[in-house]
Amino acid sequence: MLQTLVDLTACLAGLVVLLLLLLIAIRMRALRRARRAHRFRPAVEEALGTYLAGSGAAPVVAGRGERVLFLAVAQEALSDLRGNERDVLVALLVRLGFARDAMLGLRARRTSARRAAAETLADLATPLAVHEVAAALANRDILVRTTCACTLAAIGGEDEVPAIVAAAERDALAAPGAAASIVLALAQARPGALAPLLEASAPAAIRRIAVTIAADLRVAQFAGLLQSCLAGSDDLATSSARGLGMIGEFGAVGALAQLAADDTRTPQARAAAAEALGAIGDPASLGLLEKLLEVPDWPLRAAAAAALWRLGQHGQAALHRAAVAGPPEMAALAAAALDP
Amino acid sequence: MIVFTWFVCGFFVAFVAVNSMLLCLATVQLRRYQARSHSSALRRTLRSPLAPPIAVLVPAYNEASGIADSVRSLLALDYPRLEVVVVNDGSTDETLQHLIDVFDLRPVQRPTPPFVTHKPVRGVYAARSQLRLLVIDKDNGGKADSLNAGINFATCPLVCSVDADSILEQDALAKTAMPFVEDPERTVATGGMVRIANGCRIDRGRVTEAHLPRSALAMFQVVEYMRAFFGTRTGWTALNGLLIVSGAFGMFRRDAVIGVGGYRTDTVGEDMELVVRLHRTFRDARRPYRIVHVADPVCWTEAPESTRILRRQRRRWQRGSMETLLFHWRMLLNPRYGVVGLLALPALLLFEIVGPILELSGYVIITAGLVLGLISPPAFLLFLALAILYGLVITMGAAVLEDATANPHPAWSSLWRIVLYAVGESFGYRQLGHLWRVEGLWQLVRKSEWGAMERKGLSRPDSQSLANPLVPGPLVPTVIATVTPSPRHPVTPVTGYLAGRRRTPERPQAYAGERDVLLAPVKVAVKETACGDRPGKGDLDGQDAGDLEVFHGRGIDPVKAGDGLF
Repeated sequence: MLQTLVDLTACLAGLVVLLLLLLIAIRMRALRRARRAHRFRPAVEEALGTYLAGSGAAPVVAGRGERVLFLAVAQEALSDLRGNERDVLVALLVRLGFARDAMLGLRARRTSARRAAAETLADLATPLAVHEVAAALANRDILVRTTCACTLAAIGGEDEVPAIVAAAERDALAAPGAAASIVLALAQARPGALAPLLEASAPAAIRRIAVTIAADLRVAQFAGLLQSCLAGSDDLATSSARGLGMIGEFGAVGALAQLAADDTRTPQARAAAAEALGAIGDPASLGLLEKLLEVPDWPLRAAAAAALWRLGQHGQAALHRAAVAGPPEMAALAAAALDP
Repeated sequence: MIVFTWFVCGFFVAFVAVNSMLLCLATVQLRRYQARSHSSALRRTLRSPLAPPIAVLVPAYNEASGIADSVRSLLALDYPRLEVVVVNDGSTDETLQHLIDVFDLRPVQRPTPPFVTHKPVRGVYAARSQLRLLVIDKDNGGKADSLNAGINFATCPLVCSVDADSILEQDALAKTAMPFVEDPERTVATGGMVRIANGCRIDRGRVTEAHLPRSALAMFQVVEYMRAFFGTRTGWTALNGLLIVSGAFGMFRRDAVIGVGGYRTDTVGEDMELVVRLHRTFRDARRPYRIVHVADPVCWTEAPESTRILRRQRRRWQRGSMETLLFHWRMLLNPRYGVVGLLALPALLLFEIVGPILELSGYVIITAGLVLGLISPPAFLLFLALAILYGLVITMGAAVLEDATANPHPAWSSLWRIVLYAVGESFGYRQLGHLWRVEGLWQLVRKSEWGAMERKGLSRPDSQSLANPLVPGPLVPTVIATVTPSPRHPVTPVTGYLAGRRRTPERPQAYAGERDVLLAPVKVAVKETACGDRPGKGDLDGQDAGDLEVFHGRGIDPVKAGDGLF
């Protein structure tokens, strides 16, 4: 027993020492990096700055450590730069071989190296890497796939769209956030590519994401498709109604009114439809919205009151009437809506 | 004695097994998190219209001197879709008036939504400008009640509870919201890292220089927090068995919180109770969900530096844990609740509730055994060494994880101090903590101080207001300091600051210089300067009878209260 305790104590003491050594090693590495950055960074920043301003020669980068630092500084700059300066910097990085290294890195064995390479290519967004990035859509690491799909959406052509959509579909259930990032990148680069994802034939998970994005980006060309989504599930209808309201789609008033009046739908979907009616501002919605002020569901009533205020003179008159003569709860909501 | 020995051995083995497992899981979880946090695709989504709108709920009770700065710093957080909802919990000071004045608020008509119950609302105020700020003025009902009011009035799908005296890092909201972006359907709550601000330099509601505290008591808490957040909570996240999201900084899906009825107001551990209730509700409904601790986003808070306040805090925490267990005892060892019922709650019961009692009784029994010759001294010493070394392994493991993730204290001296305090905590601090926990349990049994906590509201003395370290008392114009130049902080000599500070019996002297940083924004008027010039920038900001936002303590000589009053 005693011997076991002695052995265990020795083991734990060894483990403590090991952990301490590990801590020291991590700190030494971090300090070395910090020292290197402190030493070289100002010079790298200055060289890049003068080069981009057109008054300096192209910086020369030698040595692995210096290259890593140079790339880090350049990537930070790329996130801020737009237009010609960005193009100049990307061209410089390509010339210095960073794009080539990143393309090779996409095939590295280590996942972290592949991820870093994907991020570098995302920052560079150079069309030279289209083939490598497209090939990386089959990568087994989800972060590499997602980053590359987003990059491809930005740099690829029409031919790459199906592959990007397939990448989004692949991860839509397991990693909806990653799929949403891909669809968002696609929608920002080429809004037209969203159309097939909004169709009823698209997988439900990806369609839901596409509807949310089309609504949030207020892509007016998809008003018709969004309208068709109003008949879908409550989630889908809620997002679509919100989008139609933001777009201000006059042609959707009838469908939105139908959804708002449908007491088989969730209050969230109905409230979104009521809000959309207010945002569109068609006086024809007045009667329905007044009726919705009387429903028992609080969010729906509140949405109807807010929508009435947005309808303008007639809606506000209805609110005044409700505030004066309505039951207490309705009166309170109406009064609140009149004081936005 | 034999039974006790075997029980202790069993407890020790279980403790080692669970904590080692959590540490390993935390390592895996942190690696995953680090990879995701570097993903530009997800970061871009957080900057897009897809970023979920967040309502930051700030319950405030008698926070007049600090609330404006807290709200300002929250409104300036780096997040695209943000609203701030301040709930004035029946403050007896000028908290509300201060907010109205500073943010140019006007009363607006807002009927109280019926989603969760809380004390009556007296009024609602909104900014005349475009500021996304709403102030709810309500009867005093405590922190949980205020959060319920905030949840009712918030219009965003995510709500983030923040203590009025805490400081969020600029990107904390974005990082905490990341799991909601990654998996919006399943994520119901996320919590961020809470770090101790004692010793840090704070400038205009921002931590500009992170330092370890000077106080030994606060240092012990730094070690505890590191172990709890990097080891335990991150580990439980990997199993989806996280039982607590810190009340100082936690983000929730509003519909989920409303769905479970909001915060309970009849417990002192409302944050833990809510999380356990979320687990219970979602598992009862067999709906997929996850509750995540995110290791990187940081909320700075001030730790108690006196044993009296720390004791009260620990007793309250213990009561909160025990109450949560009592409310949800049916989940214990119930396979229906998966890892929460079978592992997390039993671990809470065994290590947090029974553990302190066992350890304290162990000291007595082992001492008796030693005296009576039933235990051999070498065996005792070896067992003691084993316990201390294992504690060190867990602490060092957490320190490694912290260093590998984001360490705000990279200096060598901080490493040695952490190691020193990790060793030192086994000799006195740990035992004291256990004693306070047992006291907390005893309080629960006797139901003492039960209602008093509720009535006191949010700024209890033990909440250690960061924005206003002095608790409410009469506003006394007081000279707080004489500033003299120092090589590190050259300033123009200035004398006679008239400051409105709140004095209490505990702190009859209002002064700067006790700590590295005076954390309170203080009303300051410059009475006279030696050369009739502005004081040195960086040492005094916003003088000229304005708010002195940060008053660095170095180079400041404390003077007695009342000296040089106008």
